[in-house]
Amino acid sequence: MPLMCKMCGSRPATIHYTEIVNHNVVTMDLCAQCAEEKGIDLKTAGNYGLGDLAAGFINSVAQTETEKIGKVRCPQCGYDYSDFKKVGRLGCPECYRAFEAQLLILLRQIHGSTQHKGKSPEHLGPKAMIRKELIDLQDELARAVEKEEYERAAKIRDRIKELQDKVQEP
Amino acid sequence: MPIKDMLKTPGQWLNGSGEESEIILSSRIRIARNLETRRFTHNAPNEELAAVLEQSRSAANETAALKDSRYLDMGGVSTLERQFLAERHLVSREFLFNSSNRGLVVNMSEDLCLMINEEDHLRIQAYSSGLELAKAFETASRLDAELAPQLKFAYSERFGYLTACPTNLGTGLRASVLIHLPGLVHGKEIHKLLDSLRQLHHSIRGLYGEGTDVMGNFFQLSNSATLGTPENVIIANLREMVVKVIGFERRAREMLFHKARSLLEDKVWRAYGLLRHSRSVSSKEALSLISAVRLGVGVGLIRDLSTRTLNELLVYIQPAHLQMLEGEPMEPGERDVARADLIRKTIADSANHQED
Repeated sequence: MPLMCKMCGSRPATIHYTEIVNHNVVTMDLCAQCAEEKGIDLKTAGNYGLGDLAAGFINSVAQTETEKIGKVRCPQCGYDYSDFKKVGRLGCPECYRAFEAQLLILLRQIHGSTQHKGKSPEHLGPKAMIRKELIDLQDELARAVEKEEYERAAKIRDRIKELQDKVQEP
Repeated sequence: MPIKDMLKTPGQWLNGSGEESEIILSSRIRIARNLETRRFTHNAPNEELAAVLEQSRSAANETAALKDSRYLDMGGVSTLERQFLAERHLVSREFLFNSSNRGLVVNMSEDLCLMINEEDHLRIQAYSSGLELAKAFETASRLDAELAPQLKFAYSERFGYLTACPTNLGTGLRASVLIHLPGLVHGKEIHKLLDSLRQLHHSIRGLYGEGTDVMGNFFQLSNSATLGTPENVIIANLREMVVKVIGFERRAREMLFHKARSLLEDKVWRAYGLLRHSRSVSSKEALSLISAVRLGVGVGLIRDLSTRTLNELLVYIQPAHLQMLEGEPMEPGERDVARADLIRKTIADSANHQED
């Protein structure tokens, strides 16, 4: 039985986060999603910088991770997450998918965001915008269900269905 | 065409035109892109780098944006020439150390270039004199739009354009300005400014030298975050920040002008005298003298020199430029003499033109 996340209680805890509250050390075991939300508080751990400073972020995040995460391997290029921690660069574009859960906290620290907004390659066309909205809605749906706001969840679900149909249109 | 030909004309972005050009030397846009299914440069074997280079180079050949351009195979140019290109801000330091399977396509006016196999497969860079971020962004975007249909860029809907380093993820956009802040440095307010800019998610660093050893009071101010904010907003935010900093610098200059006029005049004229008459000058000293004279031109004390001349000097007094002008390698001591000669001659020519 894996250790479960202290916040949501439903997903396995992969992040072990230590915080000092009123001179007491509080250790929290979190899943990647909840830690990402919590990530806003992690901001104070580092300052905003570029390039070389990334290695600093990466190390501070690295300390909160279990050994297991370091061993996740990119199926495309064979890079593992500990390679990334050492070098500060990913191995190939596919690594972003392979290490997504681990990268989310880091990205929030660097950019204050984990969702791209802006240009997309033209070959993706206007549907790219819809797909982006779908990602946001799915996150929102998960939150609504978690808070047991079923009426709101139903509305979001209908909207998702509507957009999914649009994306599938030729 | 040999690289040496590039010596004859300075890049257009140095010409002292554009908005706020007495404080802002230039605006630069850098866009990072990578090819799908290829490993990032640092992790790719040579055959793969060669394929990326070939593919990107032929795509660049098809674009209207880079129609009048030259291609430089970094493996085929000398270390001195690579340093020369870095002094012109066309290639990064990374290219100085790694050169095989690296390439640069640069247009004739040097306001647009494409680095191939730098940290990312493609780095588009556009430059403009003065505070002209939107103009430079438009130049860079035109090339981006022409390359996109030919090359499949690595992109995900969640993370945007995928880059080797997560600090460039999303838009892949780094917008920056070169800004001259002698007033704020003199007034000792620069550190406060640096701290608050960092808190506001912008990055500022010395153009020549780092940390406490910033030479010539030239800084580079840029956006830190590239993910989660659309390109036009990144640029608008940076611009807003730059306009504020310009306001602070103006105020600091006015303070100097009104409260410490004789001190300011002495500093400016003393520097001008040294530039006009020295027979040997180190690069560090030259930067500091040019900075003081540039301030003198900015506040209207010196009228027979242009910002343009001083901007161009900043580039031409650097080691690789001096050695390319001379046509042979020189020891640092010889360079100091050549630098002083170049500065004297440039200032004399420029002053003559003003009198004509």
